Amino acid sequence: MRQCSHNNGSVTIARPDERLALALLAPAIFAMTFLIVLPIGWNLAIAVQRVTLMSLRDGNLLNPFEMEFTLRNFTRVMGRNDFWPLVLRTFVYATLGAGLATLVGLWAALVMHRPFFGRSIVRGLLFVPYVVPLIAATFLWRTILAPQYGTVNAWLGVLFGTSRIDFLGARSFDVEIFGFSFALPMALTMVILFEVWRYFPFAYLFILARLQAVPKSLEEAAILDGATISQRFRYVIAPELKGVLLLVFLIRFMSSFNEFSNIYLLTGGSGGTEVVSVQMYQWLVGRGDPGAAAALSLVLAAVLAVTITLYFQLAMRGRTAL
Amino acid sequence: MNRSAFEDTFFRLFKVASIIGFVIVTGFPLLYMIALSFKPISSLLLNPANPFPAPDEITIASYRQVLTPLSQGGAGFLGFMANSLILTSATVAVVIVLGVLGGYAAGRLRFRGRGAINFLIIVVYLFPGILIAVPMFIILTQAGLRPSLTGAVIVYVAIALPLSLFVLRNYLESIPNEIDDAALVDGASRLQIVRFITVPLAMPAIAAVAIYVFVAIWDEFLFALLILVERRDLWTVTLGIQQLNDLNGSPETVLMAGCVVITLPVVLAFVFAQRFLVDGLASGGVKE
Amino acid sequence: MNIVARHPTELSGIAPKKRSTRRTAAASVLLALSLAAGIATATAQEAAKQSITFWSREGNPERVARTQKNLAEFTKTTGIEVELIVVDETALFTLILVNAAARTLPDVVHHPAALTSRWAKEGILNSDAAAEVVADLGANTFYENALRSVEVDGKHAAVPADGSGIVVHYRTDWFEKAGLQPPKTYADVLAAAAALHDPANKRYGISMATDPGNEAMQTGLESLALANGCNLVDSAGEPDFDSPNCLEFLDFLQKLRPYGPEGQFDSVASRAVYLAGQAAMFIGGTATLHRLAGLDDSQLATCPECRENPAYLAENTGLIAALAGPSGKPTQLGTLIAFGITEDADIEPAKQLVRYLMSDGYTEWLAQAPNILLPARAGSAEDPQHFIKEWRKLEVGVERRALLDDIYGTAAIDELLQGTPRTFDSWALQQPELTGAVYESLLVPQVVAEMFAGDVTPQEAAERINEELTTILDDIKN
Repeated sequence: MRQCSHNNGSVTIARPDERLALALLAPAIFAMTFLIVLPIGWNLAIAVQRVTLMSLRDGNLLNPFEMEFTLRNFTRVMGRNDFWPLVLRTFVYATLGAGLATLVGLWAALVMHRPFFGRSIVRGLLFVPYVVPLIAATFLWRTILAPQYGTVNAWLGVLFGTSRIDFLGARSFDVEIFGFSFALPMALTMVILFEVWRYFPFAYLFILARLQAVPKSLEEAAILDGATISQRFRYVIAPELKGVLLLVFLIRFMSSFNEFSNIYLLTGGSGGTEVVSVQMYQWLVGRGDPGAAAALSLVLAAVLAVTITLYFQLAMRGRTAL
Repeated sequence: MNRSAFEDTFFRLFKVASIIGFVIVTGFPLLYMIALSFKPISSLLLNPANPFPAPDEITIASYRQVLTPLSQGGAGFLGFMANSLILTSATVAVVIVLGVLGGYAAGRLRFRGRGAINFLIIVVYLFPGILIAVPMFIILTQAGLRPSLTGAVIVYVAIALPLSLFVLRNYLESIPNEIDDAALVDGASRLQIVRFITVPLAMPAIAAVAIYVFVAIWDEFLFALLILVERRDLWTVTLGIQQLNDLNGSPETVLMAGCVVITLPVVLAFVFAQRFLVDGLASGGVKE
Repeated sequence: MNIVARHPTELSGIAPKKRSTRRTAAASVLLALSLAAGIATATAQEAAKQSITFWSREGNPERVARTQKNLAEFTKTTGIEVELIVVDETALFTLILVNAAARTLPDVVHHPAALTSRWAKEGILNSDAAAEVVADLGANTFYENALRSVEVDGKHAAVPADGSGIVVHYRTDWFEKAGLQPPKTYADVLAAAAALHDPANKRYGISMATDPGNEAMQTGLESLALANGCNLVDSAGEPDFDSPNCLEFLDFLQKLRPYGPEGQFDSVASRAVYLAGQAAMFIGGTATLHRLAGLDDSQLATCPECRENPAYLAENTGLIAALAGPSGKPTQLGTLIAFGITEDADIEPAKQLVRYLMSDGYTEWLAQAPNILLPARAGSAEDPQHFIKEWRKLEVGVERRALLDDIYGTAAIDELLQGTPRTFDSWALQQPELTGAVYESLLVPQVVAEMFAGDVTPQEAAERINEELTTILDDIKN
């Protein structure tokens, strides 16, 4: 029946465990398979064929014996000379967006960790960027940042006497700080900032949950030892959070990489903000070429998978368990 | 002043400054949204530095239009919110149940194919939603699940489950095995362990996942459109809002009023609910 | 190590195992039941209605209610049930895509004529059915331009229903004071803009959409381009943006730009400038007409004189439907919307519905929003001007309603009707596939924006556009 043996402090139980595990996971796997994995397979199938809108109605697309393989979709999609710059730009957008959102979320979690007067209200407020409907959020940002009637520009003019800045339209903007001047990709920067603003509550949520689970005793011991706040953070709290920080970053990275609506609603993909998802939408809906869109998505998925593995390895160096 | 005292003061000030900063960054857009639901853009143009409406500018015309039910010619947002609430709550409930059970299995039990499960979870997120839409739509149509709230719940669960599994598995892995072992020795079954021990311990993660799923589904547009567009009485808030975004018909004030109507209750709900959920349940944990 | 026992039943000895299995069983039964219920309702709906589906773009609740009544009339006389489904224009693409794949296309779909050709060629539309309806109603009762928009390989692939165009709104009071002619040509527009531009007093010569991420910039530019006969391709199908017509057009834009406010304005903002009484001219669609008259409380005009008289702007606005460039004839960008019968349709009932909506139900259809639904069919066989006359009797407005003739005067509305849709044109009429891609990528607005920013000269801009057009054409050919 049950055999209890101790390996590394964990119990290994033989076959009854497997049955139970499968039973527990079965509903989840079932749902995911039918509604996610099958569609991905479907996309694989049409990526290697020449597909038009009406041919999607055909069952033949999935019949291996009737398929006509072609790599045409891939060559067309990757052959455009703006392809790799697009990928790079998407990569930068996703990395900065996810990274900064995670850091700001960490900041928020640390600030909100201990009680203070009015904390519950602030906690609710922190979710506003995340909860506001996307259409509202993008409309608000476009209005606030508008050159002519936007509040930000009005105040900048009053306070600093600057002329109207076209935040969401300018491809690049010359910035002078402490004598150094460089060209800032303005629209891209604003789109990244929007991403950070919108998703830091997500990071905050998960980081805070993990933070709350850190036993108070650990910190108390450190205080008794005379550690300062920064030391406590560095040696006690941070190690506990490494796992969730990486997790949050990876999740946000994957989401941002495939992000479409945010950018489309803010800038329409202009001003240097065109990312790959925008192009995919154009292939699928604008040109009515599902095959090319599917091929593009596969290429992106590959890029994404490679990137995630790389980030993962980088972060896991020197650690044994997540 | 020694380093510790200096840091204490510095970080206290920093904390206050941070709180103020966060409040501005999150609260100002909310106020702005409310202001714009009263004040038309053309009036904003006259004085951009002050977005807030003058007292005589305030009318509730937009709100009236938004909240009046469809049958009386309004936009019927109360109905939309009810639909969204049903849909979202059902999804959250199912995802939590399946996620905790599955996360427990994937994270703590040993079995063959464990790596495959983890891989599966990630693979799902490598693809954007629109690509899944076409085949999913065909499947749902064949199954007769469209348009229906049930169909929507199934799709949403399928979409939200991978991430939830991932997070919960991650979290549950970090709970020491000794607790389970002791309970097993005491004669408890696995399901009992999950229900009475694991769940309370994992409350923060469960709460986080619940909130994440809630928000994700509440704001979801694409699949709500594809599954529910044909029955206006089943529409969710995102579909309703999209309708207000039609520049030929509705002015921006009505759009903003709709957004306020949707956002405020959710924000208030969080202020209320967070108190119960995310506040680390120190009791019921592992006591030394 | 102690574990805090959480549940009293742990201690009380009641077998929790049985309870939890019972609960799981109950939960699964519940889940299965609701699943079944969902399926049952869906299938029941399918069985109960032998009806047809109709996709409309007008989602405003009042319009929906109006159309429901209209359709009820249809059901009364024919016995055919119609399921009205509102589909937003941005969602239309995606929905057609998935429904095409699933073979559940609607019976009748109200769609922009710019898509007709593409959909007909892709096999989504049933051209024969539509052509028959047009023939039944009498092709000569429709405006020529309207029919041309839906012509595919010599056949009418959809039935033109309604449309609206880009119009030049101008301040008659300012023009009169400065002794200026109504702006009917490029030269008039430039002269007026220059004369009336006074940024120090918050008066701008012209307001138009200048945000390259916004579709409104595309439509505004296209209307001005068409006025000078500037097209994307020539009659041979080769990229033609470096033609003298187009260079003239780009030049005109470059000269006109300084007379507008700085910054990138989308449709909302550019309209707001005019509503605030800050612009002498405004290039945009007819959607604003009722707001200029103070008929919509949620968007009243905010010009200085408007506080006292909410209709002030309308009383002092003139309309030029079709502008003419130095090398072109009076033209405006027209968006024509048509009724299409799809490949999955129940053909006879679908034809009956379209016939009804274009005859007995036509005026009611247009009544939804007369200022954006201008008739594409002038009249019937008996009375060639019938629908035009009826349309003029329709009221616009939200909280208050009024006739367009009363607000703007008969002359202005005459002018409006002279254009629409007689002088309608659109790049989409030439090469739909190409234009589709051009619209999606917002190519022209983006290059023009760079021209405005001084990054490229008009000549370079023309060449850039041509290059992109060549790339797209090559892509399409493959």
